[in-house]
Amino acid sequence: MSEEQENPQENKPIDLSKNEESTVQPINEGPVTPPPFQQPPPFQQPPPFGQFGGMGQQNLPNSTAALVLGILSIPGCCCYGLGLIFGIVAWVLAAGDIKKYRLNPNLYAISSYKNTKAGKVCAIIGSILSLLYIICIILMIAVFGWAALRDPELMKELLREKGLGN
Amino acid sequence: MAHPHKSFLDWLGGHLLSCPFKSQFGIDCPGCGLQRSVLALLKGNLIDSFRFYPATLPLIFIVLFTILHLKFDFKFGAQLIKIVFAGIAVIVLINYIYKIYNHQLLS
Repeated sequence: MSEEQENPQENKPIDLSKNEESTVQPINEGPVTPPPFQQPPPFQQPPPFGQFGGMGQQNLPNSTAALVLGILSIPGCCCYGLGLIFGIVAWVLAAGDIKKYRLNPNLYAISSYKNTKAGKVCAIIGSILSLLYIICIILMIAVFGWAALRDPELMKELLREKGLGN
Repeated sequence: MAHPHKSFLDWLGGHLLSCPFKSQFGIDCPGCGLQRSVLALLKGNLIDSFRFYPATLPLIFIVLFTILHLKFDFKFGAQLIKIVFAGIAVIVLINYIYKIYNHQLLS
């Protein structure tokens, strides 16, 4: 009850009582006192809703992009090393966002920070896979030479010699 | 209704993107089999799908889950995505090593 009596100072009921007081003491500055009390309410209003209702903090700008690109880096690793590009882009975006979050942890939603970290992990894994794939290509070139690359049949022959083919 | 759908799948089967690695070198790359696997899955053949490429189901799961996670923001979502993703990477690697040891690269 006591809290209720203290809090309404910012609301209208106390204004009424003050008005009553002002009627009793007309010389007092009754009507002038309410305005300073009306200023606080904006602080009490919940901050604008983010996408993830209720957190009240904005998302990191690139968290979604980092997560999506990080995941795409595995399916992409088989197409001309596209996965490596996806992976590195996601890695850079995620690293930038994590830095932003560390500078100002209260400004951003923690869920988007988690997303960004997950995106970074995915990007690292995807990049490593793509890198292995590219190293594999380079090894092939080094072992079999350019001539075999131009000619799949010759390549198959070479592979059979090495015991890789059936 | 079912007939045009089936013919569309057959058309898709004839128009798979060819893997650059395979067309260059004549052997499978770590991602080879993914398209055949997805096609088998679309035809409802789960076992064939797994045989072509074991990582297809987890991959589809993680893509769908990510979309849902970005939409609804699950509490455990980021953690689960990380674990599943690492699992996929391990499956892909094991699958490729298995292929090498069983001489299936030239299929």
